Amino acid sequence: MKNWILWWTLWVSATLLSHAQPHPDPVWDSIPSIQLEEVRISASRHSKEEHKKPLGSIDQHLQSLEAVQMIRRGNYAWEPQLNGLSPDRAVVTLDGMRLYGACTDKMDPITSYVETPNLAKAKVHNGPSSAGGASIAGSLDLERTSLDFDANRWNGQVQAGYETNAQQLLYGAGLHYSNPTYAAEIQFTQRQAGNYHAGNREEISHSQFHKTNVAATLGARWKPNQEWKADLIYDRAVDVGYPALPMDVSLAEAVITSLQYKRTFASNSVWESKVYYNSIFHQMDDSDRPDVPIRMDMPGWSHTAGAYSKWKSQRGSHRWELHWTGHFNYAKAEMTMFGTSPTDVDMYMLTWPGVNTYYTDVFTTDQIRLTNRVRLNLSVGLASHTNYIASQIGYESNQIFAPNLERTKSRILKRASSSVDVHAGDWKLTSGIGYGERAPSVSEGYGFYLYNSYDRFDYIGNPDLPEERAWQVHSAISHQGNGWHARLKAQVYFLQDYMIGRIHPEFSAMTIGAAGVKKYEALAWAHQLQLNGELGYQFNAHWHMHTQWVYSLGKAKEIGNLPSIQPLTGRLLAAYHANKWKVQLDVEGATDQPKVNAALGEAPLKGYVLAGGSVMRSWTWRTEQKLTTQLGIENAFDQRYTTFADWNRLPQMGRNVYVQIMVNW
Amino acid sequence: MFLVFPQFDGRCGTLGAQFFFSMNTINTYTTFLFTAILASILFLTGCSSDDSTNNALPTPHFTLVTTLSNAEHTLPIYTESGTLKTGYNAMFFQIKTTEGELLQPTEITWKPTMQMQHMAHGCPASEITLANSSSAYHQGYLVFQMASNDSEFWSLTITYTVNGTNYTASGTIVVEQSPTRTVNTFIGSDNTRYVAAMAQPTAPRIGTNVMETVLYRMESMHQFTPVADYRFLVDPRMPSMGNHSSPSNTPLTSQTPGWYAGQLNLTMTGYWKINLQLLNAADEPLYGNAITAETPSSSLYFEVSW
Repeated sequence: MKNWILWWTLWVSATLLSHAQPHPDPVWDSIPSIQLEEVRISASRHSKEEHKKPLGSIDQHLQSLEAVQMIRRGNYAWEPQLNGLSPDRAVVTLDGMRLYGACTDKMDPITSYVETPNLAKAKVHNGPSSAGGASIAGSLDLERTSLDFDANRWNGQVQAGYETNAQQLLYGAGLHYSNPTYAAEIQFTQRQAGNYHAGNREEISHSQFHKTNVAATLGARWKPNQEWKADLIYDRAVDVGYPALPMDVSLAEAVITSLQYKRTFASNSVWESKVYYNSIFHQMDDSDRPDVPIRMDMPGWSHTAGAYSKWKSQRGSHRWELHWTGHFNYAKAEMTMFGTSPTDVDMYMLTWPGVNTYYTDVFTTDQIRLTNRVRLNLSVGLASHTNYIASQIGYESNQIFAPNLERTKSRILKRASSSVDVHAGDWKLTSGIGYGERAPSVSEGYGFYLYNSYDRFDYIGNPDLPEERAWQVHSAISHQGNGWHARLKAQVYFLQDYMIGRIHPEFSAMTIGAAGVKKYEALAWAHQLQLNGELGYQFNAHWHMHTQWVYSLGKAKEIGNLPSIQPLTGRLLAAYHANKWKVQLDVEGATDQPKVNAALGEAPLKGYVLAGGSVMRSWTWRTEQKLTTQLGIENAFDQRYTTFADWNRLPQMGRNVYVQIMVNW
Repeated sequence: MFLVFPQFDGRCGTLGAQFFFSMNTINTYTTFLFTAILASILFLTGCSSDDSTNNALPTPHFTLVTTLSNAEHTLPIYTESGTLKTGYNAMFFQIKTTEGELLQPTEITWKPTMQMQHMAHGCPASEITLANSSSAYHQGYLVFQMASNDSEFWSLTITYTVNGTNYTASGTIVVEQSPTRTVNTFIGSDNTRYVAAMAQPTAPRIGTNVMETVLYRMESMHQFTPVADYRFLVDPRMPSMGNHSSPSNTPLTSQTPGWYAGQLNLTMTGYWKINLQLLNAADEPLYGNAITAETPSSSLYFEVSW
């Protein structure tokens, strides 16, 4: 521990000292790091760029990121994972804020508590050492739309969309006002759908959802270059079905608030501080399911309060950032089971025993321009992670499995990375290594009989799990030719103390029909490889073609293949752009996947090929007013297919035709 | 003689936590202020030490059941609930003169009798000891195999000596049927009649519970002797939930003659059937069944429901 503090202090001092010798050099973005990836979600008010499906759900936007795979349990609240590693191994933040879901069955990833108009973009940082926090696979940050103080007027937006497959209806509106001192924005979005249909018109029951989202921001700029912003998001989903799971959700509600201060200095350094609070309530409900072994209510609560401060500075050949974050989370989930006859007593237990998480983190990163062509990126972070079991009942429940259970558990989590980017003419090379550690999640550490409907086991948490550690090695090469570009990237993760459930035959299952009980344990090693390839060709000013591929492998000690490994998957896109038109055709597919883990409930997958297309047209008048329409078709041939990331091999959507309209003024 | 009193339910150290973290309404930034800076916190979890010892009698927890009397003395009898039920009953009584003076006589014995239509029988009864010398509470326990009804009743006779003179006090006592099964009377495979009753847990909790059981051999209609060195195997099940069990229960082993204790883990509230198997000192099965798919419950069991 002391060595790490010393190491980090030396590093910070060295960076500070180096600022004494400035190197004049303005051009930074000529060597973008391949470790970072982003997708635009909401077109900004002045942007000319339109997306194929701008009003698609957040989940659909995230899926277009190379590093992200979305685990589907229904037509709502897909769960993002990074680089083929399970979601507990990545950190997802909303504008730098941490949120924790309130559902033991992962039905509410935090991406399900925001809507498309709330976000400007989503950014991924691959690798264990990122500002988001202690993680293995990387971090995904969802950036909120920003206020535009300089518009000095009213702006509005109205949008509507309809999709045929699940009769999904989307409508919403937003209003933005600004003057040099104050700016405010309010948005409202409603999205709802009935059951969707897989290929061959097979209706998937219990896949409906209804979601309302209201977001408001108020900003003040009392002094130049100093901005205050108060933000609120209220998101409420009711009557949401999860066809791959034995239960649905009657209510998922979140209130996300924050207060931010940002100051830009003459040197272009930026200081940003934020204080935030979010509160989530999630109620699982099986009353719509006709045939259940036992009826149950499962509410969950998650409250998070936190703050961060970050300093970004650029001096000479260094581009330096320093982040401090801290947060507190309380998570509790209950299960009440109802007997079949009126005289039966209700059965109550705590599935998450009221766990507090206290987290503090310091992180610094420096991008050093060594020469005009070579850049060195360094980062290091140190976090303190403590869990405390707040509920007495929860503590005594978990003591059954761990008689010497410590009520408090503290961990120190370290991370660091270094990479080199080289720009040599038309070639770009990057290579690097990273190291990180993570603490067990609330379920992995303290879960109490959490039923996994994929492998049909009850899972028990293990608070004594050691920190999971990983080394990541990555390398990428790209080339820009005459009208074409190509890129090849490889990432390997070497994990130690990989957390996974192992069968304990001495415990009897609690869930009726479960195959047994697994307790989380640490496997000595696991590794995960991901290869990405990309090729693009611009035929002329209007036509271009693009193809990308991904291949994944994963293995661990004793269990063989890791679960949910992506087979060779590829996508080919041809697009035509004109002034007001955009036409796009795409084909995507995957090969068969025999590398599954049968013990974890996976069956081998068949490959598939899908085709789709879209047409976009926009009209502009009087500079600020714009009408955009999109018409598209997904899975044009109504293929029935399922992917490695579909829970219990839930089939994906069949043919879907969509139309979207956006009016901006 | 070792007796266990009802335990306090320690909620001390967590009161602060419950205030802090009981959130069903939207909270403010005050919680953030306390916590955003912290790297680690250690909460006090120490509950007050166990108050239940053989000498402390928290009188508010004891309610009068009935009073026996004779010409010179009254004997108020107390239990925690104020009633007597089938199964194990921890009882306390005082012996007072008509002026209210507390006596500590020697050689106190008691004899419970059930008067049935055609015969009478007794029930397992412990020795009587002095629980608290300052307030002169005498304690013991009785295990009633059945409840009183219209035609059959229980009576209790207490005999004691004060200054060389013997006294007796008698009276009828009402024994109610316990809503859960807490007593078993059976004939073991050794052709001996036994009575087994559950003494703890009286207030079950989610988590690890101390389970205590008394075991007596019926020598005759009125004589029951405590049995030592036997063993109970424990398998708690929830019949309304696929008959699932709980992990890490331990067998009940002999503590003092007639008294057995072990660990009972209950993972949730609700109705549990505590299935038991009785083994003698040579580990031979005497009564009760192991639970299998074909045998969902044992002939020897107690019930817990909360």
